[in-house]
Amino acid sequence: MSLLDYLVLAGTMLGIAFYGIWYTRRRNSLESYLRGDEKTGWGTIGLSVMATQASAITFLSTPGQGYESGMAFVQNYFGMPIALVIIAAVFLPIYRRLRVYTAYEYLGRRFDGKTRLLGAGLFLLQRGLAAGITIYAPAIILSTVLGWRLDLTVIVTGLVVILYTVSGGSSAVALTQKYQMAVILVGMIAAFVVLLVKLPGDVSLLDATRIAGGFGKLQAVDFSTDLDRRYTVWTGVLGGVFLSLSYFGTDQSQVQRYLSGGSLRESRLGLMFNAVLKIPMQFFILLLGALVFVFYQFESAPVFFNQSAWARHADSPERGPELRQLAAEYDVAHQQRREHVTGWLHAHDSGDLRLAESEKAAALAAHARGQEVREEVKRILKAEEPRLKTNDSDFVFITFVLQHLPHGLIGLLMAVIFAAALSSISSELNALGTTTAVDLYQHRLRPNATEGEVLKASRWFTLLWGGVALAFALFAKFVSNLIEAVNILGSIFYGVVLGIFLVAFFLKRVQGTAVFFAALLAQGLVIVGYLTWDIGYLWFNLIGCSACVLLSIVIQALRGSETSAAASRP
Amino acid sequence: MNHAPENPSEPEEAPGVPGLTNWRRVYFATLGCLAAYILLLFLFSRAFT
Repeated sequence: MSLLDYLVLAGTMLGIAFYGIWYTRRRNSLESYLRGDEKTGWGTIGLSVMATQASAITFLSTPGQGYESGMAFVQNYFGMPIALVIIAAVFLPIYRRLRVYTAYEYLGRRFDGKTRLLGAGLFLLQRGLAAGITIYAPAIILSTVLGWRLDLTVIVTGLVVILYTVSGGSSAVALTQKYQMAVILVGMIAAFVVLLVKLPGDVSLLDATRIAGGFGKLQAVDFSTDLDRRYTVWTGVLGGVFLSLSYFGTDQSQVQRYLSGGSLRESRLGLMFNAVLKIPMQFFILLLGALVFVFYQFESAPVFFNQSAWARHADSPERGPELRQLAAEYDVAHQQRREHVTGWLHAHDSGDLRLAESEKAAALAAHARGQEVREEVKRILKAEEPRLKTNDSDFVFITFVLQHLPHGLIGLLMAVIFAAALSSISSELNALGTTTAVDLYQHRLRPNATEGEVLKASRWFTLLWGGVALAFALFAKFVSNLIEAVNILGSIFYGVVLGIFLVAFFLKRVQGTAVFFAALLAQGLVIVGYLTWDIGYLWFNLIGCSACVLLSIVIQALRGSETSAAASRP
Repeated sequence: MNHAPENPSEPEEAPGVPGLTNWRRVYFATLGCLAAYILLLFLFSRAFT
């Protein structure tokens, strides 16, 4: 990175942060701090919801996913529009009619105080740890590519986001997220354009898509009913509805975003904005990854994209010579692949389809040889450094950015990563502070607190959660696979929380005590299941939710008969 | 601090499209978009794979 890149990076990020702080500096009411004055328009809400969901890792991992596995990942988002319609039609009018600050406050009104505390507690536990990973994940990559110490990138990212989340509250988060999202979109479009310009002169966009398709990178829709396949239309629609319902409908970091709407109409339109735009956006980011794959058919690609890990081992006296030999073999396979890909395009253009097919087959064979070499390299690296993450797809896009984009644009793309990190973390901290202040402090500890006291407490709790997240991020290196660990944690709690909300919305006869004990039993079942059953952790979302709903009905039926028996007793 | 009173009378009219008097049409249009995306992505996959 050059001085120009650092100036663009610092200018963009500090500009956004100070604008948010300055613009909201006189907002001192609890209403505006927590709900953003309820004046926010649908465009801002829509971008804010989108920015909260899109963390830094999204912009690093998703193009890498497109590069490595193709477009199939887009199917994961097929359930989201359906879930957002359900939330706009059912959840949102109820939240707004009751004028709640947090989603869990609704549970208190619908059921009782203990169910409200349980919902808020499950959210705080899960999201508090998740906020740590949202700081830690981009910090790993940024420290790798910028050469900064990991704890330094963690502290810098954490402190900036805590500062403007605490000082501005919900309005500052919504306001700055709009500009963060704009930086993200401009950065990604600029990368796309540069990528097209950098392709060889005789390779058009159509040729590029033909190459990507030939290597199986553009298979976006799969109607297969094979349960072993990770991404199909069916898993996308069914799993996606379920996950999006819990995330957008019951997670305070999202609920708080759309409750800041000026009216029900603004909030609903903000959600519909996401329902309509999320799939094209993910498609575009994945296509960017597929085009990076095409780019590396003509430019030489590193054999292992995590360049700092590669440098550590390729220069070592023990396995270094072997690794460098494999890198040379990879280069040979790459040269052969490039020749056959070029031959394939020329044969296709001249109408010689038979030659085109044989060149394509030869290109695929050269690609397979290159992949074998890559696997061997990963095996050696893993043997040398067991804690090393050998799936290097997260580093593909950042390597492309740092090695092939012009100076200035590199700074902008770095700002994209920081902006995405800040927009997610600020929403999470804001939601954690709000939930602690409203559902614990005001509800349990200080029921007679004034508005000013709750506002002050909310700022302190946001600061406290920022500190917890930062501490977790700093000590996170001791956990071997953090992202998976937090995803597992989320799956363990999300299902039960969604179950509580579904009972609240749709099972009017079930009372607080029944759902409270049902949720505790369901949560116990999920934890025991996680420790003893050998199934994919995403299934625990479904198990937790179903168990909570079914047990609520059973317990309510038992309690109902007890109550009527007691009532009929003389 | 007291909570604000319930707010039962928020307008339910659909956004500024003449003649559109309920949200159902917006929801159906959104789901129609989803169906169109799946169809377009299917055709895209077929065309280039």
